[in-house]
Amino acid sequence: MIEFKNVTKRYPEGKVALDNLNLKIDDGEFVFIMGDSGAGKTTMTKLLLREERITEGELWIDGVNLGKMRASRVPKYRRRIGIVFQDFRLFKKKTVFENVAFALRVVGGVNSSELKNRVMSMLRIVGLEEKAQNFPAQLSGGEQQRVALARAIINNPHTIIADEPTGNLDPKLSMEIMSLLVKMNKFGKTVVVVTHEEELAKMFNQRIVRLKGGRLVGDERPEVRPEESTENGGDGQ
Amino acid sequence: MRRLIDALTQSVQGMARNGLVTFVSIFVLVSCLIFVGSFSLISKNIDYNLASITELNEIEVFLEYELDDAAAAEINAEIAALQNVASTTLVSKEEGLEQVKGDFPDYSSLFDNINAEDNPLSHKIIVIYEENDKVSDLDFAIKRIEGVRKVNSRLDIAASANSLQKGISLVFVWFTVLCSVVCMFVIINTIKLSVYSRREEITIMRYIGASRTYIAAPFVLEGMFIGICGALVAFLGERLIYSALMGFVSDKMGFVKLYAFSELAPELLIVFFGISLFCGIIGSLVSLGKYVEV
Repeated sequence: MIEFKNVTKRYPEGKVALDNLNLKIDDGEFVFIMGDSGAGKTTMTKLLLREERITEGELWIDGVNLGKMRASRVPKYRRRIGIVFQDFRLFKKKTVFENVAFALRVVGGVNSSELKNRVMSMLRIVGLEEKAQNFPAQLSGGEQQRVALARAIINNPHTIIADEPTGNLDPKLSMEIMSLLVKMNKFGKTVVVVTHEEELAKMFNQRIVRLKGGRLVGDERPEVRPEESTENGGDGQ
Repeated sequence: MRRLIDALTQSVQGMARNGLVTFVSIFVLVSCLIFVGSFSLISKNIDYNLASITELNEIEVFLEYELDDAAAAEINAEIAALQNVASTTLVSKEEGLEQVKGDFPDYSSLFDNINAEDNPLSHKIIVIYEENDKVSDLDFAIKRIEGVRKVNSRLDIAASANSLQKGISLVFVWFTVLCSVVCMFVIINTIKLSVYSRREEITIMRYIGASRTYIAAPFVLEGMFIGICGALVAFLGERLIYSALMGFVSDKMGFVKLYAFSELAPELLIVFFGISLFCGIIGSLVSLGKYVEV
């Protein structure tokens, strides 16, 4: 569970990016964080990744107070969070396989045959098994984002944070990526998608949290649609 | 093991990527180490030659003429018990006369008529002391002993030798510190370039959850590699220079004694590896700076 309790983030130059934010995200939820530029979305992501520290309040994730977490504990914490960025952030000189394997190697404790099996099964899930030996430059934007997604989930994180994951993609590829995120959510992962694409968010029947000027201005819960089947429920298709 | 191989691979890739800068770093490191090494070898050899002038550590104490052997032995024991005294040798009037005869072998007949009662010499004590900088205290203490007539301590020469040795040591330390700082700056800049060219990768690593050690290891290894290469090349260079110097000294300055290179080699290797590894490791860690902050 993620819980922001009266969280304020003030940068050294005085700008208040988040102002007394209260928000609770339960385990296994799928949440869109929406807002215009300067709404505080990016700061929220940075706080969740413990890239920035909160100024006031408390931020709890799975019983851990991020505000009081020691720097030496941060790497281990981040291994439990899968992160996906708008610009993919792949290693350009590594193949698709190596990019995904790298996240596993950082954690360690995996022998080479297990590593290969886990990476290939992850690439199968995101539909890139055939492109394991390609380099990022040889892939489309959607494929690169799928590699980033595979890398984000290979260590079996409990939460996936996607920061504008479809920002660089066309509508069709955006749908692909969002469908994959929904699929991850169905595997029990908590998924937080930060986006400013209103239309895209509305296509999926999920919770939408709206920020403006660092404050919470809306929290729309998904409508219950009994007619939707288990297979395609919530993926907007 | 796998992590070590990963780190080694990444450090080799980093050096290959910044090949020219790595080469320049090694070159500057070698130059600095050769300067430090040459100066330390010169300093060692000056010390060696100064130490051979044993007279500098000697005081001659002349006793009153009327003292007999027993009284002289008593004063000898008193002097031997003083601080900073390494050893004493009592030279009796008779032995002194024999020494004088030996100093003037062509005129020994002049001394033939001098018998024990006519001996114009007094008892003499030769004092060997330990530390030059405390010799004035010793000189003062000996002069206060009853029965001592005169003390020849050559304080001026001892003081000059002492200050020369101290001066050389001081310059050597400053020179070593200066060269180490230069080496460190060069290595810092080399690793900084390497870090800069891989800053995106480092950011990704941090987000994935790589520890500081995991991120820093390839860069520290890179710094160590530069250091080890620099130390080895500098050692070989120093050996060539020293051989040439020995040849020159034995030809033109036969009175100067030099250590054999093999006697100084272990110490030199330790100094070279110490300086270069220290600079390599510290330089790498400083270069990484905020990049490895979580």
